[in-house]
Formats: sequence, structure tokens, C-alpha cells
Amino acid sequence: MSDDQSFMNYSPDEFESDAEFEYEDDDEVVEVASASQSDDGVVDDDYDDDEGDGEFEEGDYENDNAGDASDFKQEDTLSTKKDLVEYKAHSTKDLVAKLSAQTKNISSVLELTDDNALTLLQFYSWNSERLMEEYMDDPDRVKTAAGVIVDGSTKAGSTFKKYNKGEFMCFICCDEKTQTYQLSCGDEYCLDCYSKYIKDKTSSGKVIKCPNCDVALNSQDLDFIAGEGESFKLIESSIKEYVERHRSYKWCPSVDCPNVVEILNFADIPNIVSENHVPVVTCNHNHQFCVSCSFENHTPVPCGIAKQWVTKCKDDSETANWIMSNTQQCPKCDSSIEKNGGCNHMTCKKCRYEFCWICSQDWTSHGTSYYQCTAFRDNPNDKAKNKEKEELTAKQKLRNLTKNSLKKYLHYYNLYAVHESSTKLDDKRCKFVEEKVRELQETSGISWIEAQFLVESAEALLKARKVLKWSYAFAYYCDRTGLLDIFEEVQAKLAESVENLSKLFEIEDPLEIVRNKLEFLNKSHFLQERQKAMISCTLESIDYGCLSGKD
Amino acid sequence: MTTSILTSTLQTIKTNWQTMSVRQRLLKEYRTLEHNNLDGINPILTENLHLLYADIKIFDNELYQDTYRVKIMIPEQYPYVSPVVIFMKSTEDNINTIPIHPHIYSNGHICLDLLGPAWTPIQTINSLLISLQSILASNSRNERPSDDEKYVAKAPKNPSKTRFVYHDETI
Ligand SMILES: [Zn+2]
Ligand SMILES: [Zn+2]
Ligand SMILES: [Zn+2]
Ligand SMILES: [Zn+2]
Ligand SMILES: [Zn+2]
Ligand SMILES: [Zn+2]
Repeated sequence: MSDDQSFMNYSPDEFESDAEFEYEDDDEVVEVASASQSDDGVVDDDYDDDEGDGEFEEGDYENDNAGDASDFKQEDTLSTKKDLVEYKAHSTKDLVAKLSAQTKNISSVLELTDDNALTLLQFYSWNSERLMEEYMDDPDRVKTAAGVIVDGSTKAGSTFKKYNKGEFMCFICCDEKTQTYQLSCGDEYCLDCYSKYIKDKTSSGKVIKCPNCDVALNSQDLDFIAGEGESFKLIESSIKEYVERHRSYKWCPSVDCPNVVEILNFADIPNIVSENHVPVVTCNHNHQFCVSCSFENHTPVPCGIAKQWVTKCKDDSETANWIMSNTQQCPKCDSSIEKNGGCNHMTCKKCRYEFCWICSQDWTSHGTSYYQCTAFRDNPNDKAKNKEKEELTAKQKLRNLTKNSLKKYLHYYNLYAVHESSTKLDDKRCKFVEEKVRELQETSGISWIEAQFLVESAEALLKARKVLKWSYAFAYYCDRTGLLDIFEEVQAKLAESVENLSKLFEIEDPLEIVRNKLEFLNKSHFLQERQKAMISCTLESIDYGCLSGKD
Repeated sequence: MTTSILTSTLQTIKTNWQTMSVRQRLLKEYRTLEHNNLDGINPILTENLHLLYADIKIFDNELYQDTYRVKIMIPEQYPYVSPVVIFMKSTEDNINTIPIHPHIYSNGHICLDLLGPAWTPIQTINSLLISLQSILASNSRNERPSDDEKYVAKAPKNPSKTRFVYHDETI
């Protein structure tokens, strides 16, 4: 056992470096849930009682208190009306108000205190109908199960107690304590232990029960033990539960964004997706995302392909990153070359051969502009070489094939990644420029309306860059046909326009920026036209069966 | 209760938070473990307060004829979070098998809700060992979890990093 003695200071963090493995991941759980999902998007997995479904429509008991949520919206990215998502954007605050209203409703209908109504709702994962149904059937059973004290029981409420040293020994910490808390069940522990006990539990959104029995800690208990506002934390985390429970609600997937979108035509989403349209919504913080993938707006790529691409990039990112961040062989002299910057124009130190990092071809074949390297083509020279070596064993052939498909993947992945990082730079740049102009507004007489062109141009640039980025993922999954050549022409033009507008944002002098207003407007307009062309070209390519979806 | 008392209470909690250790609780638990002499459960304490072992014997179940050993690691946050418990082998002590059970993986990891969300600070190492003994004693299925191979191939060293789904509480 000697090897185990090294375990002197064990803490779970010690294992942090281990890959996290989820035995059954969230997706699987969601799948199970979706099997019993009812029409209005309320997940119905926790209860197997199948009578009385639809007897209570949740909406009947809810005040729609979220009126300050932004109104019904539609996205303009795609063609016809029936393809669009109808939705409401909510902030966390809206949802807290919604849940409070739902709680008040339950407390008045079932004649309970707000505290008890809240506990019951949390216990029933915010399924009001089910709660009412079962409550009307047998209120005592429901209360007991949820840990709400049954009326008329002899047990008293919670009490805070003080002792002299030596009078109370806490069962949990085995220490003599002077301040304790006792729930109505009679179980009594020191305040410290209670405080530690609830610490990580308030973020679960679930009912917190006595460590020893089923009695629930209500908001007064929580606020007393952990301080004012603790019960509010529990309500806030209840939102998580609520959103998970209602499949028509989606979190904005942007990092740290607390906003939620409520999809009104939830039942139409599968149709929209199957028509190869992207169900895009915009959250209260102006993030666009696809509600089917819970991923950024990936127009023009259909959802299925987008998911495939994202998974592939995740799986292959190690290989790709290793290869791209490490050496490559000079196509001419085979000496190894390290890539040391973002530029794809490589020069071999040994033989001075200039080539493109992405396609390994002579740099001169690219002309002077970087963005023409959008085409991955089978290298005719490679083919000739392969013919020479027909005696290749099957194994070697297979290896060559994977090498070739890896090369193809790296080509598109690199372009995708380049535009992803450029998006971040653009975003920074646009914000910087907007800031400059805002300063100018204060010092000179330029009005806010007059400066709006800049905001619009920035938005157009970011949108188009995203479409461009995703078009490379699309191209990866296309068969090489004449149509793909056209696609790539449109793509190169879009890339050109993106870079042109992006360049305009490099102007530092605010006065110069304002002087260039017309230029900004023209370039954005042009860019939007090319973006539209890219999107319709994508849809056409799909219609003509160009999209194989094969790696 | 007035706000001033509440504030002072919170202050006490905050100061105690840092200084309080699990030592007292563990020492008491170890005393109980040593004096209890549970049938078929033999705790092996080490010099490290946060590490112990226990040999478990099962009676009246022909599936489990051997002696099995668990390694119990006590995290700093104990008893507010559960111990980490793994079945292990020891050739030195002639313990050669991980018990076969639908919730025990061949690497010794245990899928038991008591070691996860169902843990409360009221439970003890003692009660945990009794639960482990009883899930073995009451089992009649001579099989590993259905995803054993997949799980063992990718499992982290520390099973508390695994988010088990406790789907079947009847076993
Ligand atoms: Zn205590
Ligand atoms: Zn209790
Ligand atoms: Zn957002
Ligand atoms: Zn999507
Ligand atoms: Zn060279
Ligand atoms: Zn190239």
C-alpha cells in the first residue's frame, strides 16, 4: 500500500488534469426527455401518470408578466415567412418576474403561503398543471413529499437557538457549538454546518431538504442561514430548471449571456430545419444564434451539416492544431519549415522556395492576394506520382487516402479558423472605431443619427464574415463539381468584399472616418449583396445535390 | 431577530469557515469504526487521516465468496461532500477481485447515488460501508454495467469526476 501514502493531501482538485468523462452525457438525457414531450414544448418526463394531460394549460394560470420582453420578432436572413422563427427574447429579470407570478398564482389558487407555493413548484420542476392536479387529489401527500409542513401538524416552525459552551454537540461537525438552527422536523445542527450544507445547493434550483429527513428549507430558512438574498439565488437558479423543462425556451449560447429566448412556433422548428433553413433568433444582448443547434448563427450551412462540422472540429482539433502549429515539409527540398506567424505565405529557408501553407502550391500561383486560396483541388502532380507507384500496398494506399482527406480537412479548417479569429479582430476594431466616433460626437457637432452608418457597417461586416466562415464548412462537405467552382467564385468575391470593408475600419482618425461615410455605406451595401448571393448560391447547391455531407 | 444579531452571526460563520477542519469529525468516526466491530466489515486506518481502506465480506450470497477491499478517500470538504470510494485489488493481501455487480465497473468505480447527489452530511463512513455491503448482499445479477468497457476505457482516475446517471435504484 506504500504507493497510496502519497495521497497525503487529497483533494478532488488533484485530479483536475484528468479528462472529464461523462458516463451518460446531457444529450442522452435530453433525448430521453424529448420522447415524452408534449405539444406545447413542456417536457413531461418526471411523471408517468398519463391521465388528465392538457386538463390544465399552464398559461391559464399564468399572468403574462413578462410584458417588458421585447416584442415578437422575425429574422430577415432568410427568404419566405413560413421559414421563420417566431419568438420573444427574455432577460433573466423577465423570467424571475414570470416565476414570481406563477408562484403567486399557485399560492392564491391553492391557498398556501408564497414560501410553500415556491417549494412545491420547485419540487414539481415548475409544472403547475401537474402540481395542481395532484394537490387537489391529495394535498397532504403532495406536501409531505415536497417537505412542506402539513397544516395542523403539531410541529413548530424553524428556530434559531443559542447555547452556552458545552451544552450542544453538533452531530455533523462533532464540535461543541453555541449557535444552532432547528427545522420544524426537530433536526438541529449548528449554523456553520447548515451554511456549508446549503452552500452548493442553492445553485441547483431544486428543493433543499433537511440533511436528515424530507422537510424542505423554505426561503426564510435560507435567508436566515446564509444571509439575505440566498433564497433569491435559489429562485434565479430555478430559472435553469424552468428553461430546461420548457423546450420552447432556449438559453443564448454566447459565453456568460444570461438571456433566454422563448420560441412561439416551437412545433415549426423541425420543418424549418428540414427545409435547410437556419432557425435564427437574436437575444436581448444582440447575439444571433440557431435555436436548433444552440450554436452561433451558422447561415448558410444547414443545421445537420453545421453539427457535423462542429463535432469534427472538436474531434480533430488536436490533430489539426498540432499539424498547423508545427512544422511542414518544404514541397521542394523536403526540409522542415516552421510556421511562425499568421501569414500563409511561406518561404523555405534552405531553398528559398515560396509556397502557400494551406495548399502547398507555389505562392506565385496565388497572385498577390491571399484570399484566392479558397479552392482545394487534388494536386495533379500528386496523381501522377501515385500512378508511378502502382505497386503501393493496400495499406499505403489507405494511408495516402487519409492523408489526402486530412489535407482537405486542414485546408477548409484553416480557412474557417482564420475567419473565426478575424471575426474577433473585426469586433474589437469596430468597437474601437465606434468609441472614437462617440468621442467625436461629444467634441464636434456630429449627431448620433449621422454616426449610425458606422454601427450599421460594423454589423454588416461581422454578419458577412460569419457567413463567409461557415461557407468553408459547407464547401468541405460538397462534392467537387462545376457547381462548386461557381460556389467558390461567389465565395472569393464575398471574401474580397469582407476584406475591403474590414480595411476601412483601419482608419484611425475619427474625422477621416466621417469623411469616408459614403465609402462605408457603399462597401457595406456591396457586401450585403454579395452575402445574399452567397446564401442563395448555397441553397442552390443543396438543391442540385452538391452537398454530400461526406468527409 | 434584529439585524445586528444576524450580522454578528454571519461574521461568526465566516471566521469559522476558514478555521474549521474535518479533523474532529473524522477522529470521532474512526473511534466508532474501531469499536463497532461490524460483521464482515474490517476498516484499515492509515497514518493519513484522509485515507483509509476497508475489507468487506458478504454472507449468504454465493456470488460473493471473496473478501473485497475498498479504498476510501476523504476530501477536505467532508462531510459536506461524500468520500471517494473505489473497489481495489491487492495481491499483497490476496485480494484479487473487484466484485461483479451491475453498478460496479471493472476498474472499481461505483455508480451509487449515495456517493453523489444523495449524500448528506448525516451519513458516515460507517453507514456508507453498511450500504455497500448491502448492495452486494442483495444483488442476484452476475454482471457488470452494460457500458463497462466504454466507461473503463475513458474513465477519469477520480470517479467523482464522472457524472453518473442513477437510473435504477432497485439494484
Ligand atoms: Zn456542526
Ligand atoms: Zn429533518
Ligand atoms: Zn446573448
Ligand atoms: Zn442550426
Ligand atoms: Zn525548400
Ligand atoms: Zn493556397
